Order: sequence, then structure tokens, then C-alpha cells
Amino acid sequence: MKLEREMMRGAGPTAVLQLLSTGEMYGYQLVEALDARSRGVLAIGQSTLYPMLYNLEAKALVKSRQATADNGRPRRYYRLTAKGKKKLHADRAQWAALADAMAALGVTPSALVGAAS
Amino acid sequence: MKAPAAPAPAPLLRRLRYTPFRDLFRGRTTSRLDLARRVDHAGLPPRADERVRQTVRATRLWRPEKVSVADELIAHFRDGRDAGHTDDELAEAFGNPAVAAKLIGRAKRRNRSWSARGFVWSRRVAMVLVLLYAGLAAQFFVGSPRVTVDYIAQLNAAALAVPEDQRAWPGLRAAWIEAREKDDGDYPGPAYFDPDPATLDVRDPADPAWPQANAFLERQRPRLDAIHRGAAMPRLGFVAKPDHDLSVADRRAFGMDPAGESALDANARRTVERAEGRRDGLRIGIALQRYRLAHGRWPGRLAELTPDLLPTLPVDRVTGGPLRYRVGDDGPVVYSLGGNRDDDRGRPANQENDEADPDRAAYWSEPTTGHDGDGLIYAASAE
Repeated sequence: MKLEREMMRGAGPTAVLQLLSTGEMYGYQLVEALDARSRGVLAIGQSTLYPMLYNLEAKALVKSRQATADNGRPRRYYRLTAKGKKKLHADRAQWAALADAMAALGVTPSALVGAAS
Repeated sequence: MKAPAAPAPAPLLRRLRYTPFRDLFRGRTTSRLDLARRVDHAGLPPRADERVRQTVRATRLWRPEKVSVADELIAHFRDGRDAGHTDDELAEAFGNPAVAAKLIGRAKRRNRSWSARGFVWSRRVAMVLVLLYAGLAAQFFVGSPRVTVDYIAQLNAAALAVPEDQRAWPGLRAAWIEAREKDDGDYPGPAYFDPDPATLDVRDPADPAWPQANAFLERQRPRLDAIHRGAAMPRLGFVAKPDHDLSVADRRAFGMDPAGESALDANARRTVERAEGRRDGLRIGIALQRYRLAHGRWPGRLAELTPDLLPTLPVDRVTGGPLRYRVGDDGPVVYSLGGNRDDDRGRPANQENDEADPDRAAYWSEPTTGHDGDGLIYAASAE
């Protein structure tokens, strides 16, 4: 299942920040990780990912650097900034509250809430 | 995926064109901004190559930004190929290039520094100002003035409100014009309306001019009667007209130039004549000084200035003949003979208040014959 555009607009940045909280990653790595770890729910293409990364960079939530990979190719790596970490922390709290609220309303099963928290 | 072979170096001009100034200052022609060449040598499969080109071109970003985006997209497609995806799969997963370009362009612009944004905005403001100036200039040169308030009509409103048979002005005007035209000049004064009391004060029958004055008044009786009738009217009823609408009779009667030149035209003509006269003087002055620098002395004749220092010599615009030249103790003087056409050896003509009038020679279309002295075009002592 893929999320609708509006849902993705809210969830995508938080998902990217969460992935980057584990360490710096480059664009293709992020696409693959989002697809694999969300089981395709948060799968996004380049046309969505790179504008999102550039916007996060403009807000100083992530920082990028150009480096040469092991295979000798130039790549741009993204990592979380201190401001990005704070933002992720706040987002996590909001998503948890949202999940709880949705579970309380019966939109999502409460088991999921437990798993999420 | 096999790494593409090292590209052959681009021609020097192309490398210079696409090398940032920073690299050029360091003596390197890196051609880092050669976008097309970078994509060409990325070795991407056709659809991926097309996606990158389409997207980057449509972002409308600055070239360094485009290069940065292109590098990232190329790296992404290469990683996809390495992961075993086909060209079609990668192109499908990319999404819509137009949407991608729009979003990438917008996001990249948000990443610009404040100085870069300031540059963009100042360029926009400059463009608006240039367009505004061009519009105003076009309006100035192509358009014609539009009268929004007719002040003459406003002035005339009160006069036009007076019934025609109660207006004094038509009768006064006719009498005045007739009086001026029929004034044969035998009145003992220089003119009928001369303000000089000495010529108006003919009151004594013993005055030798008494018979002439009486004869003159007798001849002017119809006009004087008309003026009396006009003076008895309740309102003047004067309807004003622009200068150019006045008849020749009006112009002559009221002391204006009958040829129709308005005061504004005359001022403009005088300004042009003065500018041309001063330009003549300046050209001769520069040529004289250059001659003196080259030869260590002033020339014996103005003709020595041509053709090396002056292609042609300006002429005396008053007489149409050659300008006069004289070298005195204070240096050379170049002058026009002036209205009286006498050679006063470069002594400047005076105004009526006896002050020097160096511009007099410049008004060549209205030389005053009564003014003694010459019109100075150039005098080294005046520098």
C-alpha cells in the first residue's frame, strides 16, 4: 500500500530524519531503506526524495557533504544536525500522540499503538 | 556497472567558458560547470540520461546548482544500476521530471545564501527600473503632451460670460491696431505711445510742435473715439489666445515679432545659437593651445591651425566672413566683428548697462547694429 500524497507530505520528512538519526546516508540508500523498512508504504522516487532533502537542508535540519565513495564515485551524504535531532524528537512525540488518538477512535488497532510506543 | 572511459579533454574555449572564476584565478581550466559534458560522460542508459537532462534543464537554477543536482541524480541512477535495476525500472521510479524539476528548483533556491538572494532581488529591481525607464523614455519620445487642464479656457470663462455687445476689448483692439498701422510717424515724438514725458507733454499752444500734435490727434480722432467708447463699456471681455494663434496685425500692434516666433521659440533659438557660438570658441581655443604646446608660440594666423588641428575654421556667424584673430599681451583673441561690423580690435561689446557682453557675438541672427565693440569668440586671458 502506498500513502496518499498529503499523508506522505507529513510522514516523509519525519521518516527521512529517523533514518538519518542512525548515521549519514546518501540519496539512493535512503530510497532503498524507506522502501525496505516501511515495506513499500513509504516508498518514494527521486522526484520526491531530493526536493525533500533540499528543503530539510534549507531548514538546517540536515547537512550534506560531497565525498568519494569506496567505488570511486562522488556522492552527497546527508546527516542530521542538532536542530534536526530536536525536530525529530518533537515529531516522534507528535506521531505517538496521533497514533494514540487514532487508536482511541478505532481508526487503528490498539496493538499497533503498543508496537509503536 | 562498468566505469566509463576517461573523457577526452574539451577544447580550450569550452573549458574556459565552463570553468568557475575561482578555478581560473588558480590557473586551472576545470570546466566543472560543463553540464552537458558531465552527463555525456556519466554513461547512463538512455531513459535515465533523458530524465537527468530534462529535470536539470527545467529547474532553471544557476549553473553550479544544476551541476550539483545533476551529479546527485547521476549518482542515484548509477547506484540503481549497480543494485540490479533496469533502465525502465529506474526511469519509472524516478517520477515525473517536470514535477521533480519544479520541486528541486524551489527547494534549491531556498538553500541560497542571503547574499545570493540579495543579488537576485537587486537584479529584479534593476530590471523593473530599466523597464520603467524604457517605458517612460518611449512615452517621452513617442507620445505627445496631453492637456488635462485648459488654463486658457479657465481664464477666458469670465470674459466669455460677458455678452459680446458689452465687451470693450474688440473695439479697443481694432482701434489700437488701426492707430498703429496709420501712425505715419509725423508726430513730433518718436512714437505715439512713447512713455518719455518730454515727447508727450505738448500742452502749450506756444510749443512749436503744437500744430503737428493737433493734426496727428485729428487724424486719429476715429480711433480715439473708439477707445473712448470701449472705455465706457462695463467689462473688458478680453479673450486670451496662445501666442501662435495671434494674427500678424495683433503681433505688429502689440510689439511682438510679426514672423510668428513666440518668446519660447526665441529663447530656444538664442540658447542654440549661444551653444554653437561657444562650441566654435572652444574648438578654436583647444586648437590654439595645442598649437602653442607643439610650437612654443601662438600661430601668426588662424589658417595655420588647419588642417592638422582643425579640419575647417569656424566663420564669423554675424558677417559670414572669417573670424578675426589678434595676439595681444594677454594672449590671442578670436572675435566676430559684431552687429556694427567694425573691427574694434577685439574689444568686447557692452550691454546697455555698459557691462561686457561676451555672448553678444553668439546671437548672430539678431545682431544689434547700435552696439559698439566686437563679439569675443575666444580670449586666452579669460581662461
